[in-house]
Amino acid sequence: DCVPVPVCFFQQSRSFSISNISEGYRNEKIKYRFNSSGGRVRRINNPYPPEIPVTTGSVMERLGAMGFPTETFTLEKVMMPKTGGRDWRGRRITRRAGGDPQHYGMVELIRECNSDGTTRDMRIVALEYDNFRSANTAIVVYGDEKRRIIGTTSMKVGEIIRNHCFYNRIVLEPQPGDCYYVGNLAPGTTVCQINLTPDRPQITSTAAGNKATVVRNDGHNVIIRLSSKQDIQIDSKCRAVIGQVSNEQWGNLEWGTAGFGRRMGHRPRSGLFQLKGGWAGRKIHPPRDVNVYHTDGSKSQSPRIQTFKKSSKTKTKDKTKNK
Amino acid sequence: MMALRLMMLHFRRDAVQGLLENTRIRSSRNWSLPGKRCLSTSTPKYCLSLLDNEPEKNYEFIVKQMIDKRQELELEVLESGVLEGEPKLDVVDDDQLCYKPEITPIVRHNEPLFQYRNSTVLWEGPSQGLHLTKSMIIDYNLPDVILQRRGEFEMPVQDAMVRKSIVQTSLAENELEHVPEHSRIDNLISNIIRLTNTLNRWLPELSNRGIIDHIPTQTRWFRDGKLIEAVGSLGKLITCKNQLPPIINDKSLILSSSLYKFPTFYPASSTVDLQRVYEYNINELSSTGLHTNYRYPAAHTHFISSYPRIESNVEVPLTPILFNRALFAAFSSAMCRAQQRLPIDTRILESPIVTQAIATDGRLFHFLVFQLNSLDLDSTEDGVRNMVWWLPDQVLYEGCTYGDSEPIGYNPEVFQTIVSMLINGVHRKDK
Repeated sequence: DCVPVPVCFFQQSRSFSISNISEGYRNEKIKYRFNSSGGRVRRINNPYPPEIPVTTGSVMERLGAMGFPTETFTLEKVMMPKTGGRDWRGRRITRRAGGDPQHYGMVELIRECNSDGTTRDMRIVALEYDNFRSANTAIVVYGDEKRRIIGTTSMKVGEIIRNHCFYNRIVLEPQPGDCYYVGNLAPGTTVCQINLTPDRPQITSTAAGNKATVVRNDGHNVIIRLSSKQDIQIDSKCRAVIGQVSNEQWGNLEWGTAGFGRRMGHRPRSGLFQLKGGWAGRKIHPPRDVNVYHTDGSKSQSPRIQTFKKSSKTKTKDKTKNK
Repeated sequence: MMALRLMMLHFRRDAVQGLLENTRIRSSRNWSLPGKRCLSTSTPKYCLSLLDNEPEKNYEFIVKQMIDKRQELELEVLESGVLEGEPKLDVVDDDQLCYKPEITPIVRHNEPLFQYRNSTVLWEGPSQGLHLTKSMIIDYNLPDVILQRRGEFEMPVQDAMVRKSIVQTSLAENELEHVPEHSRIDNLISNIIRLTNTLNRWLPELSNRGIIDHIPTQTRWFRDGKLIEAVGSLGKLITCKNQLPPIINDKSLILSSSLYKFPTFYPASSTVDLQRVYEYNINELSSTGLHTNYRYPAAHTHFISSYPRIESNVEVPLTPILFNRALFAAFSSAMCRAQQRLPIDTRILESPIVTQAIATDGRLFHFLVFQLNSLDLDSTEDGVRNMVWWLPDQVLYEGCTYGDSEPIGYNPEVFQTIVSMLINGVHRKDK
């Protein structure tokens, strides 16, 4: 019968060729089906999708398919051209896709301690710009290895950073740039680069200028408020970096021209001078429930914490007066 | 495969492919065979034997027929006597003619080997290279042995020839063309070496030297429990018959160098920027790149160029890069020659080995003299240190443009120091 289809990467790029598309698919007719609302929709036939995700999936999976070494860490950068919203077949799947090609450099998203359990001291060697993300990165050296990490606002060249791993102790003056367990932090500390479970990488609040605050620490569970004013509950063994993510002025930049937006990947739209309905505008709703991330990987919700305030109706007892 | 080819002549291709994939044969009308105009899904009887996993029967019969015919032909040739008159040739194996180097199998180790190449860039600078070679800078100037001989010999029209070579190498024929960097530097070095050949009338021993380029060296030494290797062609090398005399031969001064303390790179180690290799052979000894019976085995000076300039994540200026290249070149040439003669654990050499190096950018010249005092470099606290004399940033000329026939800001002292370094170890016979 049919032969498995080879993978097609980056049809729009000049370095790769377009001949990887299957011959059998070209001869097939375009099939349509009717939607539930009665409209006609094109049916996507992909009987042999690639085993490796091309557009969706993590960056490391895509790089492994290209031949880039993923087991070992390298500071080299790889150019990753954009697909324009096109799939391995060459057909458009997502609208409003595009932008300049990006250069991906491997970043260490899990800041671990030494295998002995001792603190890991690292020294900053350079601060550099990363085209793949809005935050700036830093090159770090420890032992015989060099790594790249997401930088914070307080980082400077020559500074020493530490990754701590101790339990059952709360730190009142944590050093900015260091990495602690979330259970070691007192409420009120600013935090970034959090992982939702101890097994996952530290991905949340890694964009430029993001920061989160520790609201409550129960010893086993910790509640954190993100920059989007959303609360999450995570295990105390999750890790977090103290400080605010670098390049905090990213949100205040003015793009100025339409070409800058095209380079970022924004396609033209015509929504400014058109009337809107009830869906537009600011809405005031009660805050959502807290998302709980369990160590199993499951997710649940719990009601939001109530903060009791003093009111004029309550009376306070004067204990100083003798009965 | 013969059986399948026979079947494909009688049956359709689909049926044969179905047999290959162990699928059911499609029912079809077979128009190729006469007399059989009916649907058939089963195979005829005369082909069943082919499908019973006994295809070799017919094949063997065919092959036997072919062998019998070949034997008949050979008997005819032997009986006719054609081959008797031809002479017999000696059998020559290809193995005897070809050169086969001894190939040793490469083994994979758990502990890596740290490799220094011409393309490595040490981010910390000269202090990192000094830590790896266990050496210390004694003075930011050349030793007196070399400085005293500056200006001893002056060739006629010396400065004019050097200025001419600068213009020749740095400028192209047209203003539109651009001279590549590697040729600009290599040609300037070769012109300077050629100018020193005029000294042979006063110093005939200068002719007993060899100039080698792209020499593959390999030296290994232990440092803090780690195996380090310097590999590659570390510049152009001038060799001579006898080694250079040591600059500091006083044992009290050499032993006092053990008090020098190295700086630390905490939390990093000095081997951060080196390439890690896990497949290597421990039994391989250090090699100079020359065969044993070479006429001029001793190393005299290295000439190092700034090309190729390598980019790194950290912006490192050019002078520390050239310092490390010059240091590792001088160190490796001295170390590999000492390891061939002496045991590995010698703490102090009775006659320390001296090598020199000159690094250039085409405009700036840097001079280095290295003295090897010990082979035991494993510990940092104990032991004798090696010695380095380093003279950086000597400007030969400030600028050279197409409008000027001569370079601007020419400094004649630089060429005098080059000559004094090349003369080191050689004296007049009259004196």
